[in-house]
This record gives sequence, C-alpha cells and structure tokens, in this order.
Amino acid sequence: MDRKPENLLIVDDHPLFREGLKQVLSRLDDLHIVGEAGDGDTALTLIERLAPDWVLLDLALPGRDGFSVLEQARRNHPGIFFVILTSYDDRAYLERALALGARGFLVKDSATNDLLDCLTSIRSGNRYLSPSLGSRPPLISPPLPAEALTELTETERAILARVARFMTSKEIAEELGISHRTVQNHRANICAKLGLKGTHQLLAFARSHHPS
Amino acid sequence: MEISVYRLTAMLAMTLMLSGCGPMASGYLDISDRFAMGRFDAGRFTPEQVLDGAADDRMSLAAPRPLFGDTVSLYWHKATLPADLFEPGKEYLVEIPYPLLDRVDLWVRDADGAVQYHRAGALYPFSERSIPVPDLVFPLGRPTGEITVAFAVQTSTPLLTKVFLWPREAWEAQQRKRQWWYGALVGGIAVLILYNLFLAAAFRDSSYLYYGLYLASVNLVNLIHAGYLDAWLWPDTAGVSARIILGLLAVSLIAIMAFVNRFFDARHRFPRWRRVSLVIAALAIPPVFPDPLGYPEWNIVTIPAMLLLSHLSMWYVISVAVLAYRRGMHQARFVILALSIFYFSAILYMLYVMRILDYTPWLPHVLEVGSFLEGAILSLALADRVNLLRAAVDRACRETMEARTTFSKQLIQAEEQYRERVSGLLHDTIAHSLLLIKQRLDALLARHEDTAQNDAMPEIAQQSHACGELLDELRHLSHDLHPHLLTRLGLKAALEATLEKALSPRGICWQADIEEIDDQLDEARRILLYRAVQECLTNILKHAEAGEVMFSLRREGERMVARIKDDGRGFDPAVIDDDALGLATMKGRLALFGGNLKIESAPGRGAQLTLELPLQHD
Repeated sequence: MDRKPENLLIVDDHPLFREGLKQVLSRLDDLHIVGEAGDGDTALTLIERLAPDWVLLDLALPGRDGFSVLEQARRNHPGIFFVILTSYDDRAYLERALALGARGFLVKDSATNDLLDCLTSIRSGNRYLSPSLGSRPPLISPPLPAEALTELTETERAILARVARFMTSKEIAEELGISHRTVQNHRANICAKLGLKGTHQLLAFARSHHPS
Repeated sequence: MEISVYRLTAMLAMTLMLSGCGPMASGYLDISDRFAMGRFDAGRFTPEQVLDGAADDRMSLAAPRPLFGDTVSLYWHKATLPADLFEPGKEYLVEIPYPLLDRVDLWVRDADGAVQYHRAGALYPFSERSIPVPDLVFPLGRPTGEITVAFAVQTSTPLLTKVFLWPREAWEAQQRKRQWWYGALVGGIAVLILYNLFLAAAFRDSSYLYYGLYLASVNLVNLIHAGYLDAWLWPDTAGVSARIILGLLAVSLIAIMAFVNRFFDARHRFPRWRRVSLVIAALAIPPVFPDPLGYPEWNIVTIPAMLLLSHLSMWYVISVAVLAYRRGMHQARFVILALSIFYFSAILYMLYVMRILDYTPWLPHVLEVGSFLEGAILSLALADRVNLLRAAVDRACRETMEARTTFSKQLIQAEEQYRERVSGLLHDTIAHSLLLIKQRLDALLARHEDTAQNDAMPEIAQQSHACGELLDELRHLSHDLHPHLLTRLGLKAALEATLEKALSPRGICWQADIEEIDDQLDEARRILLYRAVQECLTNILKHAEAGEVMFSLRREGERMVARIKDDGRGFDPAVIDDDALGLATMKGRLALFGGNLKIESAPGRGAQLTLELPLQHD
C-alpha cells in the first residue's frame, strides 16, 4: 500500500462507533481520517469542504438520511468512493445503495472484521458487499425489451398469458392439462430466456406485455 | 316526498270544497225578508191561529231578533208567498240553512186552504223529516197559487232563521255536490286522524294522539253543526243534547292545548304559559255537565262560556307556537299557519252565526274548510317533525360514527408512533450498545490474531458471535415494530423485501407486480396496507402450506387494490377460526379508512385475499 495518502470521512451518529472505526482504520497508514459527521447535513458540508476520497456512510442519520446524502454527493463528486456502513441487513437497502452508486455495503455487525477487506477490494476496482448479503440475486433487474417474447415457445407464451391473469402454477397446470412440475419448468425457462433473475418479476413482466 | 303528497291532498280537498260547499250554489231565492217574526210563550197560539193571522198584529218584519234562542219561547215566523214566485207545475222547497236549531215546526197552507205540517231540528228524530237531509228543508209541493208558510222555532242555540226558496231540481243538484264535499271531508279527516294515530303508535309520542283526538272532536262538532251526525248516528232519537256538543268542544280545546304543550315541550320551555292552558282546560270542564241548580237557561251561560274558552285556547296555542318559532323551533311555522287558518275560519263562522256577516252559501261551511286545511297542514308539520327528528338522529349517528372512526384512527396512529419509538429505542440504544461490544470484541480478536495461544480467544469469538445473533434478533424485532424500510424506501421496496424475507427462506416461490403508489397514499394508509399484507403473509405461512404466492398492488379507479394469492390448501371462508383474529383486525382497520378485505377460498383450491383502500385522504 505505497500510494499517496487518501482522505476519509466518517459519517455516523454514534461517536463510540466512530471511535471503534478509527481504531480499525488506524492500521492503514495511507488513510487519513479527515473528518467526522454525526448527521446528514454536516456530512454534505464536510464533503464539499474536504473533498475526501472515501466516505463511510451510515444510513440511519438524524435529519437527512444516508441515501439522500449519497444521492446528493454523488451528483457533485462522482469520484468519491462511498461505503455504506449500516446496522440494517436488508437487501432492499443494499440494492438502493448500489443503484445510487455506492461501492461497498457493510453490515455494522461485521464491519470491524470486513472493513479492511472492503477497502482493499474497492481499491482494486471491485464492489464489496458484506458476505452475509452477497450471494443472492438482486430483486430488481433492468426492464426487458418486448422482443424477448419472440424467443418463447407457444406453450411458454400460453403460460405467460395465464401468469398475467394472476394464475398460480397449479391453476395453469390444471387449465392446460399438464403437470405442475412441467409448468414450473416452463416458467424457469421463460425466466432464463427473458433474463429475469428469479421468478419474482415474472408477474410484472407478464402483465406489462399481456395487458389483459 | 311526504310533503308533496300532502300538498296534493290539500289541493284536491280545496277543489272539492269549492264546488261542494257553496260558492257556486245557484237557483235559490232568499225570502227571509218576507217573514214577519214574533216571540211567544209556547202554546200561546195554535198553528191555525197563526196561519189565520190571529197573531199578525204582534208579529213584524222588523222585530228585534235575539242572538240566542231559549228553551221556553217560540219564535213564530210567517210569510205569504205570492203565486208569481212559483213556476206552474214545478216542485218547490224551503230551506232554513242552520241545521243546529233545536226544533222547527212548519205549516204550509196552499191556495185551497189545505195545510201540510212538517218538522225538523236537532231535537226531533231525524227519521221524522219529510226530506231526509241534514239541512232543515221542507217541501212546499207544486204551488198553484199563493201559499202561506208559518214556522215556529224553539232553540237554545243562536237564532239564525234565514229562509230560502228552492226549485226542487236546483236544490237536488246542489245537494249532490254537497254530498261529494262531505264525503271528501269526512274521508280526508278520517285519513288524517288515522295517520296521527299511526304516528303516535310508531313514535310513542303522545302529541300525535292529542292531535288526533282534537281532529276527531272538532270535526264531530262540525258534523253535528252540519246535521250529518243526526242522520248517521241517531236517526230515531230526539237528537243530540247541547251537553254532547259542549263536551266535544271541551275535549277539542283541551286536546289542542295538550298537543301544543307536548309538541313544543311547554312543560320545560314555557312552564308559565303552560299554567294558563291548565286554567283554560279546568274551566272548560264544568259547562259540560248538566246545570247544577236546575237553572233553565244554563245553556245561555255555558254555550257562550265554552265559545269564549275555545277562543282563549286558540289564542293560547297560537301564542305558544309563535313563541316556539321565535326560539328557533323550525317546525312551529306549520303549526302557526295551520292554527291561524282554522282560527280565522272559526271567526268567520262566529261572525256569521252572530249575523254580523250576512249569509253566503259557503259561510255555514267555512269552519269545516278551515278545520280540514288545518288538519292537512298540521299533518305536514308532523311529517316535518318526523323528518327533523330523523335528520337529528341521523346526524347524531353520523357524528358518533365519525367520532369513533377518528378515535380509532388516532389510536392506530398512537400505536404506530409508540411502536416507532420503541423500535427506534431498540435500534439506537440497545442494538447499538451491543454493536459496540461486538466491535470491541472483534477488535480484541484482531489485535491478538498473531498471539493465538491466548486461552481467552475462543471464548471472546463465541461472545462476539452471540452478539451478532442477538443483533439479528433485535433487527427483526425492531422492523416488526416499525417498518423503517417503508419509511425510507417506500411501499414497493418494503413489500418486496417483506415478501422476500417471509417466503424465500421457506422455499416458497413468489411473484409480485407492485405499482409505485407512495405519492397517492398518506403515511397512515401506507402503513395500513403494509401491515395488512404482512398479516396475510403470516396467515399463509401459518396455514396455507403454499408452494407459490402471487402478489399485486395497483390502482384501480379510485381504489388501491392489493391481491394476495396462494396455491395452498385453502379453507372455507365461512368457517372463521380463532387464528383469523388477525384478519378480522385488519378488516376493521381497513374499514376505518373506507376499505375492505375480501376472502375467496375453498378447501384444496388455494386462497385469494383482496384488500381495497380508497385513495382520498381525510
């Protein structure tokens, strides 16, 4: 780690937790902690004034929350590495944070152990997510072009049309006179062909393309 | 609706009255001025003597006529009607248009000297009349020349002795109209009385009862005046005594005052006025009883006394109604109008009976018209009162409901605020302290990574792990208490996260189509929807054994509609067990915001729950 020292801002409303973080970070020689903020507005002011290279950002802040700080600051300073450091382990937060441009998402429970790995990983150009969150596919995938429909077979399209009518696989199986298992397989195929990760979005897709 | 029906009735009645009660009567000749009159003791002259002219020098056309008759004197009237009054071959009648006279004995002597005798009056049996109608009408036959008519009146009533000469055809035509009129009047009054009795029973309000009683008694008096009761009720007996009329008058004036007292709650609003009515009522009772001292002219005292009391009672009821109106009782306007109309008609009738107003064909019926109009208008007032009462009850109900709804909403809001506070406390203080402990333990571990020989290290790692598990639990608890996801990320993300958390770990496949609708619902409704969906998911997890769950939330018209469907074992919606309590609570909460919860399911067929919530904010 022989690079020029980088500046880091800690945004968290708990001073004791910030102290803990500083102890962990003190092990990195090339990282300067240039400031600390206990709320969202102070964080934004300090980001403007100090132009840090890194921001460790809590989500639950008094007043302006972490997402708002992230959104605002990323607009003016796209180069800053934001690492979300939160006590929430909800994937919805994770996805939102990534969508807003955060490079890392750490759950505070394991932050002491994972923080250094996280910074290292981000420095080498990756994103870093707490291991407890990282494995599952995202809930939200980008919208699909309608052309993808052409790749579907006749049966798959029939199934998609019934999904749009709010029918469960069992009901579809019954109506089409095929086995439940077969419907599930077809559905998995549809998702694969459409590039849907998981079936959660199948209904929304089916409805938007079969507005019945 | 009710009011227009009454207006219609009143208009119909008016039309009938106009043709029936006289203004259009025609064809008669007032021959009153031809009759000389003299007052004699009973038995002083025989009819033949009068007809022969034995009493002529003591009778005169200009004789003073007392206002009232008496029970001992005879008032003889006599006229010679010349032949040119009669068309040859036509049948003629004479009418004395005051059916209340006690006894009228009438003799007709024609050109040939033949004498016919007829009698009629309130104290003669109706069946003895030569012409069986309520009016006092006597046949003259087909006069071929000059005839002489003499009649003796003996009465304790006002002494009204108009005499009309009618060709029989014209009289019969008028009579038919009159029968129509009385049919309509009696029918109408009967309907009004029944209506009031019905209201009295339906609303358990005695004011309607009093009014019904008043209507009945006043109109019985009217019918006696008109002579109909004799014809209908006691055709073979010697008529009705003045006692009965006085009794009915007393009942009517007591009833109308009782009605007004009840209607306007005079006991509490006008206690001093009410005492006046009690005095009038008390004074009205003695005249009803036979004379206590055997005084022969008792009626001469009691009838004017009762008339005076009747006027006082009218003054009383109208005054109280005006007072009530000035105190803001809206429904008093009908009472004032109705009673004033009746009172006006009563005054007209009185002026007629006292011969201040000259006879016109409708004057004898003016009281009937007034009474009917009053009944119709007052029934309108009663209907009005029913409407007012109903409106008041409705308003009270609505206000109670609104208050209850508001209170319930406030309770829910308070509960949410409390949950939010506790959730925040858990998260910010306890969870955070725990986090700090874990942070230190982890730091300790990291610092001594190299000197792994330390015996305490495994113990510390274990404690750190325990802290982590505790933190997880606190997070769940905190989120259950207050959905911070909902506040920070909105309904769509929060619902997706909830579906994911609840279903995916259990291997239940789910699909969701959720519109972004946060800006269309206020926070209370967002939380409500979120909790309702949570409750549905809890039920699915507890009971359904589902393999798949479908969820959609979208705006349909002016409602937000959420549908949750599972392919589980289903149930009979009619059979609600204790576990459905959560759903019942949700249903109640949705109802507070004008929404509802619909359950469709059958055993083995999965279940679909539909939650609806209207958009508009309070």
